[in-house]
Amino acid sequence: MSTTTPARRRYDDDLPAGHHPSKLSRTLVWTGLVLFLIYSVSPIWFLIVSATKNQRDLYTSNGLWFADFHLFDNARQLFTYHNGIFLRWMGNTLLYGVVGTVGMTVICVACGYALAMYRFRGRGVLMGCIIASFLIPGALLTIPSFLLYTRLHIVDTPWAIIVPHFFSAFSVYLAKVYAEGAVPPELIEAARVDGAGEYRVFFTIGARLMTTGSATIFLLGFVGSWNSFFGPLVFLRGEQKWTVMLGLYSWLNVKVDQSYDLTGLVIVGSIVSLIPIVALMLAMQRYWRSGITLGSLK
Amino acid sequence: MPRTSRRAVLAATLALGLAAGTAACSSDSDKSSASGPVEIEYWAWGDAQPVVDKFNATHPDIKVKFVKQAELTTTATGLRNAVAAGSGVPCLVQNFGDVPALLAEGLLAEVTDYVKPAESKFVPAALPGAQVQGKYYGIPTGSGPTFMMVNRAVYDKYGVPVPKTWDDVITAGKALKPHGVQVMNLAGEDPSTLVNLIIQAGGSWYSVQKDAWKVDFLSPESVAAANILQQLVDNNLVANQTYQDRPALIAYFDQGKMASLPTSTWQLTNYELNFKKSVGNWEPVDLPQYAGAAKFATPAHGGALLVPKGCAHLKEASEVGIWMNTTKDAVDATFDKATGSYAWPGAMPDPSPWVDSAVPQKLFGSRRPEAKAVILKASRSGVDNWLVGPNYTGVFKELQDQWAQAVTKKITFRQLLENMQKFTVDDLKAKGINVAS
Repeated sequence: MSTTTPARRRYDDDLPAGHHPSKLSRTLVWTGLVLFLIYSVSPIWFLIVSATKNQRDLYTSNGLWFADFHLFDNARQLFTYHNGIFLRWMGNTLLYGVVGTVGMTVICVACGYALAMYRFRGRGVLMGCIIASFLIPGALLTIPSFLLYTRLHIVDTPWAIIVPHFFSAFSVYLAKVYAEGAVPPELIEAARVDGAGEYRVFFTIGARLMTTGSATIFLLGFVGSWNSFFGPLVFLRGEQKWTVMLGLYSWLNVKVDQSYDLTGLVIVGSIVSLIPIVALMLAMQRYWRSGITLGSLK
Repeated sequence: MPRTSRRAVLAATLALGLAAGTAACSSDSDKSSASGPVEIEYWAWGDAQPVVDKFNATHPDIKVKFVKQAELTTTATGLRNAVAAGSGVPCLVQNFGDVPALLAEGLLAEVTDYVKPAESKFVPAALPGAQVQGKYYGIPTGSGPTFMMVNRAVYDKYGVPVPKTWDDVITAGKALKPHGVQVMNLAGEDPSTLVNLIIQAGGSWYSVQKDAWKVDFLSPESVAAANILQQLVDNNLVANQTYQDRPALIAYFDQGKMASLPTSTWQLTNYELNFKKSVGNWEPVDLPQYAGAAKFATPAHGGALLVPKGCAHLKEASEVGIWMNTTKDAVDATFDKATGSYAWPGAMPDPSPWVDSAVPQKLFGSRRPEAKAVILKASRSGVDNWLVGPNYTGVFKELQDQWAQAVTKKITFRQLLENMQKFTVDDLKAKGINVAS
């Protein structure tokens, strides 16, 4: 960066007065940042480059640079392979993700709000249980869940994926912490004085003040659901019900014991499966922005 | 939030709950209303739909429902869960392990009564793989033919004759080594080369003596196999390229730095698709034999289409399985448009109608016509004396560890066999299984 042009902001301007970092520390910081940048960006770069290659170039050409351009061929193959099963997987994932995460957001925001706003007996114990449940690894619950869902007859139905997603201890915790900061008890009191019932207070005041928190919970939940792998793997049978992650995984494994190698499709599929998440991130940015300004106006 | 949308949210939440309830009910009623043709659920990770369609079209009294699985490991987990839960157990499952070990786990049902009468439809070498002590716990599927492909261009370039025996392989390795070429690849994680050599010699690590298992890792056959591998490793004649990093593996095979590759039909198309430089340089040849062996033999340890415990229709499941593995209709239905080939009919006495399609067009160049004879000879000479014990799943994991140490010269193959002998006997005893001394 040029430091000779006086009109431009200098790097040092952002530092406290009288603070001059040594050359060594600056070099170290820059090196660290550059290495971190390479580390974060190179997998995506690899993915983009690889998506343009055909199967043979994928293995034999330089992994980080382009060979012959086959992106459109690959995409066409992706959407037509096996009667377009990939689209079905995308649809399934979207369905499980949207239904599961909307339900989860409603339940967890309401739950967090209740924990933050109401004083009731057993509240401390309940909060303790929620925090303690963070400590239980999900994999440990697979067999009990499987037996439970078998009893409920929801194994091999979408409900085995959607219903468990409704309940997230971490989201409840997040919602509670956010509600404590964002919803002033005086406002709730005022609404009650004006004659609003508790549901009305929650939906018209509480939930609205918690928009940014809810958006965060929704986004984290949706990303989690989109990438979820273990649940679909254990509870869903038959490729018609699979999620996109599970489908891509099965394609990747085809090569192990069959002659046909689908690695190329897996790579293009991975890029396509990123699109909804990126779109969602971009679409939801305004919630954070409005959330931040909300804070500064108060 | 306005009143209407608040209601909408409540209604939606309620509807979800109701739908979950009805979904639960409907799956119940499906089961009780089972009339008409018997339904057989079939789990596999390969694409078996065309075969199932063909069966359903020609058999009105049995209906097969194919449920695609993600891959081997998850199929195994799914089956274990279903058998443990005692519900949703399929009647046929693609093979994911050796029958005795799966039987010991309590996963398999006995189908001897239904398979025994059909024995004549199978090639004899395919039968032992589905049996434990003469009883069937699955439908024999046989195995692919084992032969070798050599990079003929490399052999010719350095004037080295193509090996016919394992001793020749060692000699060829010594001749190729000064040119920076390795004669074979032994992946550090895959001990199947050792197992295949022992099967080829007609040996087995386990046998049954009255009501006890006899374990013999130090039989003459095992020692002979270990000697060959020891010489290859001691003289640095082999590579240890892993199968996990496929691009590196393919590139390595393609470069001409590795000259011979024991293989089977199902791998050929993949090599043709991925090789860039060496397509056309390869030649299919007979699998090297032991010097002085009485007759030509290739390892042909078969597998089984599994019939799990808890399947309610053993007779029908066996009928479907036998049809899948022994009829022309079934094999024809496995045709894959993408590769232009059929699944290898490993259980059929005469695989010749499908040999030609198993050989890709360009991999062997002008030597393609040789492939048919090589493959049929390998298929006819398959031997299978291999018997695995009930603890083979754990033994195989230990074997992988020992193998990795042996190919990297940390221990000798003789030590590997000795360690495995001790491990296997101790493990059987710890499990309370009788071991003959």
